[in-house]
Amino acid sequence: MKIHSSSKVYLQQEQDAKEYTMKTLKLLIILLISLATVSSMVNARKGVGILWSTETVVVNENEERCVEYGLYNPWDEDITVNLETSKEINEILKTKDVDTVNIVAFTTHENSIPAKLCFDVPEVYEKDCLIGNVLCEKRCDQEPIVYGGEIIVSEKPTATQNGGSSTSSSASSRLNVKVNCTPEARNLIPLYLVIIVILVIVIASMLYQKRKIQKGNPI
Amino acid sequence: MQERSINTIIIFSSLLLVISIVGLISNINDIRTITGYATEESATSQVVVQKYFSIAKSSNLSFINFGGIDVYINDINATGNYVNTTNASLYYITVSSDSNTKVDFCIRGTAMNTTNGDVIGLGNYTWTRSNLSNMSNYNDPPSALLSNLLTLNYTASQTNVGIGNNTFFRFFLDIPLGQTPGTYENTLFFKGVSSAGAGC
Repeated sequence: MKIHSSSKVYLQQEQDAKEYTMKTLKLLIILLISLATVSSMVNARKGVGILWSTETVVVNENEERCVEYGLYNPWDEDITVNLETSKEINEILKTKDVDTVNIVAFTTHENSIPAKLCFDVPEVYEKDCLIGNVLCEKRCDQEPIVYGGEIIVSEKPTATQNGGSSTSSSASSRLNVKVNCTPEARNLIPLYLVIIVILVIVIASMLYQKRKIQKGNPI
Repeated sequence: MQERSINTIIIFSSLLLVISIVGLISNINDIRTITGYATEESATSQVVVQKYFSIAKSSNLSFINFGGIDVYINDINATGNYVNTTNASLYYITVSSDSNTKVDFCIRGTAMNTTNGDVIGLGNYTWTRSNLSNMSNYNDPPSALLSNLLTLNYTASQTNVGIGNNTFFRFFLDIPLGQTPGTYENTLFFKGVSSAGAGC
């Protein structure tokens, strides 16, 4: 009986120890999970990223050219960004297929969101015309015209908290759109055509006169 | 009109007509700039070199607070300027490891104002920057006395920040004598540009 009783006590103690270990383990797990959650909340960051493959494009007059960019966010929080352009390139910007976009967390540059910007370059180099807009030539002896600016990926400023400074971050890439000038010889075709038409009329009229004279003096 | 005169006009006009036709053809050739027959074929090889970088503010840099101030003093520290025993700054920007170019950081801001239109001018808001977060090296970071004025246009704050590196900021505010009490707010803008580019 004595032996039996002591083994019972021993078993009870073992059971208690097991329960205690389980409780401690549970507590530890909960603590670890809470710590991980809190630390990830504290360190959670969102950022802006830009990928580009050119900083200068050469475009002819009256030509449309599109340039592609990539927007990404390799950080651990989603972000909403705006795609903006600045300075002179705004004058020739025709379309951009992305204005505001949400980029999910952990979007690397390899999975960047494509954004295409198209520029429409007008006729910018002066022509030397003899009459109005005809009989013109283009010498291309002036300085090349370049539209410079930036492509900016920016986040919306944070809200202020009852005084202080809100902040906003952005990533930008430079872009120069250089307009190519192609020299053009003076176009004299309209002038030649007018002279030819006049001469044909004169010759035809003279031939008609000659024939009339010949008919009047049938010798 | 005599027949002889008519003949002269016809001959003269015909001559002019021939000259004009020759001129026309020559002008067409000039405009077309015919270069001759191509006898060579070519194949183009192309490689596109991409550049990319990403930056992120520290979570504390989402908002810069100077606390409640009841005296007119200079160089008030933002609450995250010197924290813990190491006097570390909680305001920093990081260049992501998912980048392939060094980055220059640019900073600009607006004046602090209240909804009633009271303003603390830009000249009262200053900043410093450093590669170090703490004050273990007392020559770096610079003190408020060596701080830079906040400007409306972007100015370079730190150049050539390497991939994975941080730049730490500290912000200081002067409250001019007689400043109207109120809740003042402004916005600071941080921009990253490729170090190989044209700057801010």
